[in-house]
Amino acid sequence: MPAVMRPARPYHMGLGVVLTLLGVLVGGCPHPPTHDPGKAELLRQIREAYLFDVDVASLELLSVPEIVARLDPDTRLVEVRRRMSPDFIRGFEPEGSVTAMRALGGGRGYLRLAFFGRRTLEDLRKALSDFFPPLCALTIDLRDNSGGSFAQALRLAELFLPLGAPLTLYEDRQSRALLYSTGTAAPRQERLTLLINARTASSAELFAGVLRWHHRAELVGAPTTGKRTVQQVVRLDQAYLLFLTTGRFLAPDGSSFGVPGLTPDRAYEGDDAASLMAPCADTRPPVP
Amino acid sequence: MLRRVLTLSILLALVSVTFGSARLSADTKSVADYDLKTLAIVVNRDSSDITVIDPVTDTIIKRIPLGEYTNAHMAMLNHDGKKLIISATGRDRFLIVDLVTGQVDHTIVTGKAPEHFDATPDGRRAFVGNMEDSTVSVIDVHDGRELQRVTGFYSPHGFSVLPDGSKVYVSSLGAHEVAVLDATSGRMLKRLAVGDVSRVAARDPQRYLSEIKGIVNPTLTKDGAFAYAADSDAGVVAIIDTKADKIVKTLKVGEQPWRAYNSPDGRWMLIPNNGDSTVSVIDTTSQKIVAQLNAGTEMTGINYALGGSKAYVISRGDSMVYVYDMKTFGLVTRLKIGTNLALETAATTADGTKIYLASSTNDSVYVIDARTDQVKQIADVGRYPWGVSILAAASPNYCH
Repeated sequence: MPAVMRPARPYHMGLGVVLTLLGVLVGGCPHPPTHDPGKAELLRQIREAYLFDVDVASLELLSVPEIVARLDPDTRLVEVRRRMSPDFIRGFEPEGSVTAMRALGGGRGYLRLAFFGRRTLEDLRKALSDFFPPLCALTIDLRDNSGGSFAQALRLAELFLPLGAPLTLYEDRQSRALLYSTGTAAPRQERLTLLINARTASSAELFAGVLRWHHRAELVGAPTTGKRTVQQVVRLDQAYLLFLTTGRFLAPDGSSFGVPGLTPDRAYEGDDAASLMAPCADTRPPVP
Repeated sequence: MLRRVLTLSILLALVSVTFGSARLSADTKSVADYDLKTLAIVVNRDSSDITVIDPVTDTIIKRIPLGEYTNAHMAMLNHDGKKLIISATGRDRFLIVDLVTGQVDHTIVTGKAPEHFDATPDGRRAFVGNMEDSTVSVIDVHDGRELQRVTGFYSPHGFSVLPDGSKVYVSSLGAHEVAVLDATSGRMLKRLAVGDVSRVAARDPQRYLSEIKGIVNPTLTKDGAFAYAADSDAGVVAIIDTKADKIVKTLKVGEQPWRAYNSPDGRWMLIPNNGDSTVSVIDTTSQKIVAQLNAGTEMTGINYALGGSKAYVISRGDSMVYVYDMKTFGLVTRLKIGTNLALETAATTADGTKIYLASSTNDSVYVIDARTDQVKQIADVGRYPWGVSILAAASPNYCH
């Protein structure tokens, strides 16, 4: 279901003019047809891809912000960034999704993922390769991680799961699809602890939920937000991007990863990551 | 004592005349005496000037000032090699400069932040993308005026005019689409959506994801029959049939593909994927991916040399150039250019034996001898050299 920027083609304008004239001749039209290509694109996207049922006809006379306000709370307009650096535009500027990392001794390591960006998989791989000697136990701090790229969350989960492992049941307007791990490299063996809190959301919940579903990670901290919808990003016009809810993710068996969010296996409040896992000399890395 | 001083002064004067004469002799060789199509044109962003390098001697033969704060982004010689056409990003202008005299013939007002452009084969028209107001200026190069400003793009970044000059393909970096313009009328003929939309699961998308990384450049095959458009967010390359103006194939490549670079013989398209530091190799005959090469980080360009038998992949992140054998796709060597350099783009000489590589942060151009893979530095070419072009280059010119 590709998102296409529909052009404001000349014959559309011509038709619009004709319709307007007809409307006036027939007896006046209180709401002349719109020529706002952004609104036309929004309505088209709602018709074709929006996850929930909605009466599109009832939206046609509203403005773009009014329409978006009538939809689910996760659908929103986001202002396009202005004055981006040339390097950022061209994708050279680091994203910096790994914001902290340190060795904790005893083969243990800690790193913090602030969000799931376009390069988080590469950022994480690089961070892990910087640990020497290699780790046998890893804490990934997902506290305050509000999510990000849906694909990157799945790719990260693949790092720790074998080829063919089911990841999530993805549901959109028309279908359900079970997504599997396609990672061809041998899964990483570190014992995993994931730190979560009330502001851990969306892609971060997906990543944590998948790994726990496979008994591959222990969740420590506080219950998470519980946002399981997925938005597609569409360029609406020069000023705004539309984040439209078009899907949701579930556990591979169709259940929810948690209601409302993920509950930790172990409650924890604090910042002593070293206390969360035993040194490796005392335990053996788990077999996935 | 006075006599000694006088004698010394006379001696110094003689010496100075001798060296001065030698320099004068070099200076008296006019740019017109060179084969203009073979000269290396370096655009210096921060010193707002152009440096011209003789590829035979690797010496600077001319500096052309473009005006304060013009901050030129891209420069290339027009079809006959006589006029330089330049996007002056800092001043929102397009410049036409006589290469021999160094005089600015025309200064043309454009939209905001003009960067990349392409010209028709007859050199009559140029199409320049204004990144900040998302318009395209159609320039009459001969008369030195803007004919029209076309709207409806999203950060128009890459331009390719068909070899017959009939149409121009414009890629938007701020959207997942390629637009097709009639090169004569400037009319928008078609818009082609590339790739699937990206999906996000985020509670606050405005924090990190309020931008789209679309298509850097539509790269034409040698015969112009197809355009290859790599979409960064989608991780795909769309192959566009330029006769029907429709996408005939979409190939999944690596993460965050940059753009396609076509080989001089037209057989290969190489696509650096900055998201996973690989290079995808596409056979243009079968339109299939035939290899995925491990490469460096932050790749900014690819140049072919020695008749296309070697490919040089520029890695800004590693301050290194990765050299591949295009018969075996094996890594020949890695050329460590320096440490913490910002390597930008490069041009291959007309005979295909050398590559001129701009290195912005140390104001240098590096010359790579493709026969030996030896590297030498030309220092002080200007401040922040951003790109190099050679009209008769043996590998297609490009910018970034």
